Amino acid sequence: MKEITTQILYDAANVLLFDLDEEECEILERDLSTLVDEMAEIAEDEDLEQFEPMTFPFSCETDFLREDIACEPLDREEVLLNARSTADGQIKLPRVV
Amino acid sequence: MSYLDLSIKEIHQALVDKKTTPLELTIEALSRAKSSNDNAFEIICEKEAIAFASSLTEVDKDNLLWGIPYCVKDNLSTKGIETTASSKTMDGYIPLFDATVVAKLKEKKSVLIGKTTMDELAMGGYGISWKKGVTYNPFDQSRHRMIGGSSCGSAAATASSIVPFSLGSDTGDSVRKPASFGGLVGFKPTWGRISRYGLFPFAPSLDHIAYFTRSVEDASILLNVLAGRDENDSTSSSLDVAPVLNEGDASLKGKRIAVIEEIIDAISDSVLMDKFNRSLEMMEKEGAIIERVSFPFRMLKSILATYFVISSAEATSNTANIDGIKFGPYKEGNTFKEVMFNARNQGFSNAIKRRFVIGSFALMSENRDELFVLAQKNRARLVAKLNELFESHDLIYVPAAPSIAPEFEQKSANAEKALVANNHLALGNFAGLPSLTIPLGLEDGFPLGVNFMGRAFEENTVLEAALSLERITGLKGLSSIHPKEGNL
Repeated sequence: MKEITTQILYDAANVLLFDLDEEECEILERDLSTLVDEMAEIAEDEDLEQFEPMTFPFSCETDFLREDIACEPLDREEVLLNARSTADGQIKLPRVV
Repeated sequence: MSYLDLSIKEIHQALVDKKTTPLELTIEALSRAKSSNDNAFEIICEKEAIAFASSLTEVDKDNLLWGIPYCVKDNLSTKGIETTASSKTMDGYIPLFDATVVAKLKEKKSVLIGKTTMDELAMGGYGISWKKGVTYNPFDQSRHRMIGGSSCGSAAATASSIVPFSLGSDTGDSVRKPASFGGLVGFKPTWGRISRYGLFPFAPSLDHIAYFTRSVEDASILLNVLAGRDENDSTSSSLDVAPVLNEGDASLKGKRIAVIEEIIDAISDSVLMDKFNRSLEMMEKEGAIIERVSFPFRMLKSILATYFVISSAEATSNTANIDGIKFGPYKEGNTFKEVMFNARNQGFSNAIKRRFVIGSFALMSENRDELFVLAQKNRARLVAKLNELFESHDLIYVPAAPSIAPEFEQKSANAEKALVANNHLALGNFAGLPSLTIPLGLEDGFPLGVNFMGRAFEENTVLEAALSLERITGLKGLSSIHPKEGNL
């Protein structure tokens, strides 16, 4: 397991595209350490090995794919309705190249 | 008494008898919403509500929800109405579509009067919105006690009779705990019963649409309307929903009810336990077979950590699309990455950032087995234990919370017992089982709640038992403006 250090937490935050201030980092370090300790206590239970990781509570039969029929897409105005930075009918961002 | 204080059937009858109209009900609901000091609303949709209510002129006698005002938690998409999940990252976001549950209620001609406050992105249990601040418990005029979260606004609006019902979401107990603190019926049906299309996801393997009412019969009516297969939500179930229950359907005869001893032992509130034990006696008199069962304390203690790891990991992933580009406040930057960074950094609260970092840490390749996978295995173990209990019992019955609504700064005396007493409702999310909180009584004027949990898709077993208990307690229709002590 990766050791919990201030640098690790700052790096994780930056990968998630935000920052942490010093005070927040301290709180987080404390909370995360407590959580890791609690999980370590859970890990001591040997009977856990007989269980597969549960991703959903139970199996259900379902369809994921719809019929391959063309539908009406959103019109451009609708797509751009919630974007705040637009130009010429497109979302505008800083130049990449 | 206003018609808004009544049950759905009673309001419907008043509409049929032309004693009131949707417009009158809506105006009254809006008036109550605007004059309330509980801070239950992100937005009050006055213009839209009045316009819609005004259009409802011909009573639909077969439609119990026709013309009745309601509100929804602000993480449910409402077409044309700002929806932000109480997060600054979503400021100004106007959904292009209604969540399926909102669309269903619109079809039934119920009148949406507002979007309610919540803990940001549904992550929290204190009922504190980063944007709007604290939501108060309508039973506490001193403003010291919480109503809990994350569905705080919907709970407060229903508990104070602004509306007869409201929608929320429940990922760890976010409807069922506030229901306990607010003297309400809070129902979380089976995972997949109600389509989650249009719900901002928090942790999809745990998320449920859930709702508040002031009676069990109303909860049954809503289930019948909201449940059902939705092609937009591939996890929604095609299984038939049992018909709406009536008062006469209440029966406990032969029901095998398990009471988990370790949860009971974790509770020190003697008033609660006294009422709880009397409820057991009364249910036995009505034919229920009560059995005290064991669920290892060590396993119950593990619920919170397991929930936190799984939910934080899923949440980190689900909110990766919040970047201020397609929606939300746009923040300038020299590169697109800076644009996204500025939006997220300035938009998310510190509490949310902490959860995301925890989730990310749990998913790191070096940590995944010892944290995330371990949590998933523990979830499987907890669910297996629950299912074992359900082999020989129809229901599990426990106090929904360790006591009345706590004060905002209150700390628990015994940390280990508090871990169990405060978090056991998450078992219903781990296992996806139907789980309903109902008022038990009052203590010093504040509600106490209990919880029934049943087998997957057996909502009516849960509802029937709750209906019986409601008759025993005499607390049908309890609200902060019409409080009653109850019979226990």
